[in-house]
Amino acid sequence: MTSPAASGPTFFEEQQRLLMTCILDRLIPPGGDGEFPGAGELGIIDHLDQVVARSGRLKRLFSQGITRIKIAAEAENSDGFVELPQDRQVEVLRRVESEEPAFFDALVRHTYNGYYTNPEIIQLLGLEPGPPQPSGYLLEAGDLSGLEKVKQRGQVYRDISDEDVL
Amino acid sequence: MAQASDVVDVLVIGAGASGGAFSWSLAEAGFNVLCLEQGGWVDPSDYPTTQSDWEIHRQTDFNPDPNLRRLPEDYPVNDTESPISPLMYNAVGGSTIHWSAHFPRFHPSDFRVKSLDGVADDWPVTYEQLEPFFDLNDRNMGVAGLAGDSAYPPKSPRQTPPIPLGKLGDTMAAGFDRLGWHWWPSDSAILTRPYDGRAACNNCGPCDIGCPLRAKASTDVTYWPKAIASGAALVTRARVREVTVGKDGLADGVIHYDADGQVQHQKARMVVLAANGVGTPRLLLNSVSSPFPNGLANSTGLVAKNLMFHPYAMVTGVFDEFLEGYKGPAGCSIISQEFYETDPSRDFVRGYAFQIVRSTGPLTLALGGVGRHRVPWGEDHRPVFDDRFGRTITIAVIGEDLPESHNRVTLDPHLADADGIPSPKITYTMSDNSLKMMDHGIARATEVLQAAGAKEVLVNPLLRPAGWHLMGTARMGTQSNNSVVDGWGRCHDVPNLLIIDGSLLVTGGAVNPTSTIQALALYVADNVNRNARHFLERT
Repeated sequence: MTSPAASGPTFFEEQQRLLMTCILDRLIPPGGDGEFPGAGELGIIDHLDQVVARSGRLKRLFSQGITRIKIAAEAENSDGFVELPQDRQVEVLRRVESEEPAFFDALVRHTYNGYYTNPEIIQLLGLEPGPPQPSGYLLEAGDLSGLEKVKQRGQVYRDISDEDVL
Repeated sequence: MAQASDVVDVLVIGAGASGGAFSWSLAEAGFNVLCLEQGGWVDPSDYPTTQSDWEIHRQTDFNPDPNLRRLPEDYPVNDTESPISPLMYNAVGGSTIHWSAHFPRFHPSDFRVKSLDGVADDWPVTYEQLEPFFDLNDRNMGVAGLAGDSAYPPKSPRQTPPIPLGKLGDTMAAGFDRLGWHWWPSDSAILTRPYDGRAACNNCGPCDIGCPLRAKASTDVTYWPKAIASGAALVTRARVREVTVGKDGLADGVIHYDADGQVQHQKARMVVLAANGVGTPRLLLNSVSSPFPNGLANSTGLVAKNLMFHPYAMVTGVFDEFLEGYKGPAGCSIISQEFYETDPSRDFVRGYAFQIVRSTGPLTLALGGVGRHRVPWGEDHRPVFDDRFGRTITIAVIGEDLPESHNRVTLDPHLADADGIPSPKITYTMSDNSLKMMDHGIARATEVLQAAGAKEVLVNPLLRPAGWHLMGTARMGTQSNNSVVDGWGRCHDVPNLLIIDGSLLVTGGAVNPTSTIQALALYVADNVNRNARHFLERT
């Protein structure tokens, strides 16, 4: 899979990027006492851009969904979504979530996809960036001493007597 | 135009768990075996576990649901009338490519449900008769486990030591110990030491998206290399449309599409179906001829009926302690069979098992983890995610389904695969017995997670993408009016047509069935070797 910085078709026009960045920061806001960047400031828009551009279905869903967000925001403030206070932005998003569930589900899923495969986030979680192979993990064998008591309780499975064998 | 090709002795359809075991057994015994598989070979170095976006592959080419994955070798399944979606994979290795490698056996009582509990039916084989084949299969697949489990009669030694428990396993075991309930390291078809030319597991976690080390046993890395070395032929990208019947009423081969989409007629003296508990009945229903207007081998009308799944409830405990839950084979740690057997004081018969499932990687957790509880977006996102990451233990409650004839596979009137072969439709409802059983299991799972120290318990009472186990649709039996095949897997109606996959199972047990399915396949092969050579003398 290409990195977000690689070239390829894109979907969002320049003027939509600010709006999208703001939406992404509402979906995954900065957190953990400022340790974790929000999805917008982390630049996850680049991941969304690539993914949506490659799918006819996502292009349709996102065109409609983003228009809905704009309209819902402009009903509250003619300067649009970005100018709303954060709690009002969240309300707008919740409304669009219930009105355009397929779009919103795709928006959240692909935002999570981009965020939780980002090497910076992986490192903040205490993991090594990169795939699970070839390094794998060391894992302790664990404590099997409790099995003594299990064995002492005796047979747990049901016996079949000779009469049961037809 | 169909072309004749050389007649083979034994023609196996499907190169999965049972197809691999059976083909190896008869190739070793000197039979001329050909297997046709509609999928291809998977190269272990291509598995997503070697790529940075590995978790995203669960949504795309490694999605367990064929309806979402839509690879060329997949066929669509109509699952709109079932609360559980069947999850099969077509390749050399079949569904073992994706499986978590749980490897518990059925128990002696599973073969005698009617005699013991007055429901379902008895099998025409016993645990004791299958024991040598369980042991043989364990040797061929390579099992990690521990001798002495009181939930079974004594078994042959496991090939490698048990899967490490880690902090997660220790935490869960302490919960079982506090309540005095059975638990044991779960038999798993995953190597913890090098064995048979394959490497040991390095605890990377996501077994479901393939094992580049070949530590997880799938039949492409266990049975097939040996079967081919013994002379078995395996043709991939060969999609079988129907089994054909000769004038004598015996099976005489199959019609299939080859890798170029050309129709071929492969002739055989014996035909063996190993296409899983949905694929095999689909093939039989698609094989219509004048002696078999309702599908091949279906004079009883029982083909494709009595479909059994294992209903899965996922009960997830969230712990304060960081359990490093993403380390270790995700599905395999310990198993509890405390509630496996029927207890007449309960309001249901039969029982369930608890497979203890570890945590997941970060993206999979954000999207819901094992129980599909998506982490909410917004202000709560970071605190909920951080609360759960690496800190969940999920109890998979696996319930024993009873066979019911209205639970079935039919041919969908509209859906078909890319070659136009009618697709299967699943019609399935949970029985009253299953609903009561799962309620009981969810309550007990909650209890033991709390005993282990869980601060919060999340419940998914019935997981939809959980149709890994497909059983019952061409059941065995001694009475030809009550079963499709006899005690040696031979169709009552067509004695040179054998079935060796999960379709055979008379009852479903309450544990993952692959070990039992493969043992049965080896048992059936052994009988062919001893008693069925006369079919090979036909011209």
